[in-house]
Amino acid sequence: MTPPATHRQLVIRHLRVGWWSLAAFLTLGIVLEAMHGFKVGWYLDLSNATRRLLLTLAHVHGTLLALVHLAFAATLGLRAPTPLPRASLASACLVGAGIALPTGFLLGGLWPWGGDPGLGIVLVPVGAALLLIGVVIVALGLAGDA
Amino acid sequence: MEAVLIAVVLWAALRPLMRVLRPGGRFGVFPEVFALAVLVTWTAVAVRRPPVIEAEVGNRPARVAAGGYVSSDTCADCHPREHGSWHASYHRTMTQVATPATVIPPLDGAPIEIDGARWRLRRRGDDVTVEMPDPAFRGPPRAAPPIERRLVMTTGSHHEQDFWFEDGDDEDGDGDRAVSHLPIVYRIAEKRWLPNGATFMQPPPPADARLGTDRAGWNRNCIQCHATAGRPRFGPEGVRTEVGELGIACEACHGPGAEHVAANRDPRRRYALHLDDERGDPTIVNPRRLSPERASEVCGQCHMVSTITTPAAFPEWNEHGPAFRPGDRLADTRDILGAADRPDLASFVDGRFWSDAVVRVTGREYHGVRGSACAEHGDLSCLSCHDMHQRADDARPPKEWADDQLAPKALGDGACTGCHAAIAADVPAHTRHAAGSPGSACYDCHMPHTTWGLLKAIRSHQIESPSVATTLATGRPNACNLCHLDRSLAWSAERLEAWYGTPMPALGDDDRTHAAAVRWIVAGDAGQRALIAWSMGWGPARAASGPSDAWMVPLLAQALDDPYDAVRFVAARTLAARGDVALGDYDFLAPAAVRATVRDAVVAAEDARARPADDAAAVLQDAAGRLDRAALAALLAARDHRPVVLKE
Repeated sequence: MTPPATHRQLVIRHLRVGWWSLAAFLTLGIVLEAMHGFKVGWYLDLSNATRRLLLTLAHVHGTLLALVHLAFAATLGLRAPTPLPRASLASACLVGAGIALPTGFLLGGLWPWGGDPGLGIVLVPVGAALLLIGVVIVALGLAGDA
Repeated sequence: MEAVLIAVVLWAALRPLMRVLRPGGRFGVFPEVFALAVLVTWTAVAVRRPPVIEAEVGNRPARVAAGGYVSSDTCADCHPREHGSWHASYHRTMTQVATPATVIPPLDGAPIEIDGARWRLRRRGDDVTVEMPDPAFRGPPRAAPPIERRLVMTTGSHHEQDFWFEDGDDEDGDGDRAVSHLPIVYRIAEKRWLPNGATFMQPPPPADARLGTDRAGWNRNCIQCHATAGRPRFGPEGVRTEVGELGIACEACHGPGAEHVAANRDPRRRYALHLDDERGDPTIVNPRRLSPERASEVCGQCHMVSTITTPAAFPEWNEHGPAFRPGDRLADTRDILGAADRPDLASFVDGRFWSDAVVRVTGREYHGVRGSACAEHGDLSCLSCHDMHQRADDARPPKEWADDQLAPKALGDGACTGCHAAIAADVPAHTRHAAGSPGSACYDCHMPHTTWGLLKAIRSHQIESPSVATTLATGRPNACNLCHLDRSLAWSAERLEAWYGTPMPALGDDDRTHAAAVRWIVAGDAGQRALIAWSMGWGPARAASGPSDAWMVPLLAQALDDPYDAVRFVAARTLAARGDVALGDYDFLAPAAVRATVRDAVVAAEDARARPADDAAAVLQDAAGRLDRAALAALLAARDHRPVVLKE
């Protein structure tokens, strides 16, 4: 990914990422609803509760993170109080979180071990850390901004 | 506490909103009033429906985890699939708290009348009660005044359901958890109530005796196998029974789980185990990783005739429950009983074995498994055929799997052919029966239906080859004559000699002239009579017993008037299922005169049809195809009247 030269490029990047993420994870939501509709045991059986939980978490986190991208773009669009390097860092963290968090839940749910998620779950804490860093950078950038 | 927290948070959440929305102050103290209303409502609901605290349960055994047991709820968090299949099993529902959801018969208060006594089951809120003859009454139950007690526990949910009512001496108010057996049992398939005594194979009891009950019998006896980690706790202050869990739960087979749970709170440990599937977890017992003998002994702790209540072991067991843990050598902590091993327990052991110590009742199958050559010389264990958790690739509905928890491969010959590959390569050469026919099914010849329980014949788990000599020595029907019901012992012996070189035993005249099954159903002991009455309804036996099996009808009719309740029950069920004749209003508990009338009517109806068998004399027919009454009388005169008690 090429480093953005301007705040506007950042805005466009996050609008793209946000809307495409929203499309992807809403699609996942439709797939999950379809599995409910067709009573797919792979997803619904009591013994697959871990898978169901993790796929639901993947859908929810993916969707919400897509909205975070859009919110970040909107924040930058409304005003750009943060210096570009710091904004770029926040952007990278948010993009990384948007990939790692939902994908970690998704992979953990595809191949669970009984009540434990599959190994993909290791992506989740990484994504969570990136999200936290990104959000704090944005929040700090707005601190004291009346 | 919970309500206060919710009210405070609600107040805090609404207060800023009210400040914004209250420019004119018209909302006043609304947030405070609303939060207070939530607090009051919540408290009222909590007080009205207090949660059941198991340790404080006073009228039945309490479920209290102790001694390292943690309960199946804890296991479910990490093992949902295994928990799910266990949850579908009849092991789980062996004992349950009686609620409207777990009690199978209707709770409509309709009278249930047996032997002149009356019961009524009712729903009272979340409780189930029974109006019953006062068990403390000294006299026949039909004359006892009615009382109402709470039903507190159920046993079984597959074939029949038994019930336990609160029977504690609770005058001191601190809870006596003695429960007693309701003397009537609900048969699920037949949707009818039976006196408890009629559900076992036992001699006809004296009048009024089959409606007796045994105070605290569950706390003393059933707890050993119908609960997990049961602690009877009989003491001077009363019966303070506790169990780890009602029913047979995870820790009955895997051992106490506390150490396992504590160790696996560490995710690094869990993932290390996930990634190295070959490595077992030493903090818990997995019977599949035990030797075949130790694995089977996990089942054998209940599925054997055994006892832990030796005088020396009793105090420890009474207070702390069974000393056996999965993986242990069973004989270290239990007395494994065979015929005549413990004279002091004769009433418990007698009748449960054939004379050669092969077990004769169901529910005690490990005697058979460990007595089989496949276990003595091979790796046979209970888990060779049974899956305690339904496999992920087993497509059967869970309830179908739960019927006998057989592994998919064990539904056919797969359990045997895995080792006996040479036989599998050319089955007819071994069986002398057509491939795919019942005569070529491993189980039908090597695990015939010679054990009894739950009012039906069940396959023996002592894997053995058909032997007429064994039949003659023990009375145990052999597989040949349990299928070819119209053939004599001599006929079977000749084929076994010709096909397998089995030495011909010494045979009497009757062994040559009469079909063995005919002799057993007429002149055998009650257990033999019941096995044949069941076999006469078994499809493969009906198909193999002549061009027409109509000759069985008058013989089954004789069993409609058998002295034993269980024999009459199974004969009536077989006849009803066959559909040869209408039994009208026949009831196996009807008075003898009524039963005899139906018996004679069935025989007369069959005589009128006159359907001769190939070898009429062998099946007690005259030349015209009617019942040969003289031959029948001669066999009846030779009937084995030894008392037979077959209690699973």
